[in-house]
Amino acid sequence: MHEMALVGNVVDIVVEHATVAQAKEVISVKLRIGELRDIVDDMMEKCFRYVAHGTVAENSILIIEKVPIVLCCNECNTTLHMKLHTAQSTQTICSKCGKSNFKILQGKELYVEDIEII
Amino acid sequence: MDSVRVIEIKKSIFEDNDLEARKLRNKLKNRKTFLINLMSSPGSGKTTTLKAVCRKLKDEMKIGIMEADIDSTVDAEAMAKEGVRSIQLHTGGMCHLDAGMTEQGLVEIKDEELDFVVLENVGNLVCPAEFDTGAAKNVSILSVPEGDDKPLKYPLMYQVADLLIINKIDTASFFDFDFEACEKAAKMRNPDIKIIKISAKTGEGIDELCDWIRNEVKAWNA
Repeated sequence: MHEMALVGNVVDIVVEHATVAQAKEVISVKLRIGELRDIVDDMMEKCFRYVAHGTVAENSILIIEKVPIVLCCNECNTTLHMKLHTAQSTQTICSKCGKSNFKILQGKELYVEDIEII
Repeated sequence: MDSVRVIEIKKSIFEDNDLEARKLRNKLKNRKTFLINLMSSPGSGKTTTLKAVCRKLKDEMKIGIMEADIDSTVDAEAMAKEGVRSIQLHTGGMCHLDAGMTEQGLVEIKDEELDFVVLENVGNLVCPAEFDTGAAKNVSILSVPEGDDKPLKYPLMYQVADLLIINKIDTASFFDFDFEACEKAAKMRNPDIKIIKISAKTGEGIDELCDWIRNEVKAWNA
């Protein structure tokens, strides 16, 4: 339930850009969200609806693009994908060398990608 | 009919906060104020740990504690009794603090007069981990009764923590807490995490924690 903590910033960015572009209305808002952020899409949508109420983005459609998690093994440089909420995510080991020492290449994104306005 | 225009933004929703946090960190570096962001679930012993630390360190450095809670002033009052400067920050329902709120607190506590300031974040293992507060170091407390699997369940908290304090080790015989499994899981989230085991109640491990603070304060001011 940390979606509410994040959605305020989303609405601020959208309203700021829509205002600069003199938009009458925001039609859609596209977000790019890394799987590691563990965002529940439905909850994000509900929170967005609540916070965007009364703004130029009030009737916009929220589009969420998920970015898969990709890790790189610090021991042997192998890249591997990880899925949250699976046995793998609680015991991630490198498929090549068996160690569990990683850096995150992608999956932590949280971007407002673009907006469609009229 | 108005034509639809697409505006490319590609802006991280953390961008403004990250920028404010970086500025605040630079300011604190120049003022030689070492700020830690202390995070944990409610009831892990943040305030009790701070009391134990303040008793040992208050004669050698000027300490300030900023207690963030949704409501009440019980924590700030408890810290004031220990003879350290303390203020209560009310988040007004917010589940976390960001760099802007931290900076407001620092103005109120007059951080320029202090060597070591602790921001006691809202008790929550999720949202506080998302926002950079501008602190020099992130510290997370995990207490034995909560279970050794917290680093598996709340990945981000342990990724962002520089120091993990395992508290209430005096209760270990009552719980099936596997220290080795906990440390392994925390290191999987963050290979560089430092781990110190303490009991704020009995005082075990508090000297090691105070040494960590002394060294970090020294490194920050170098």
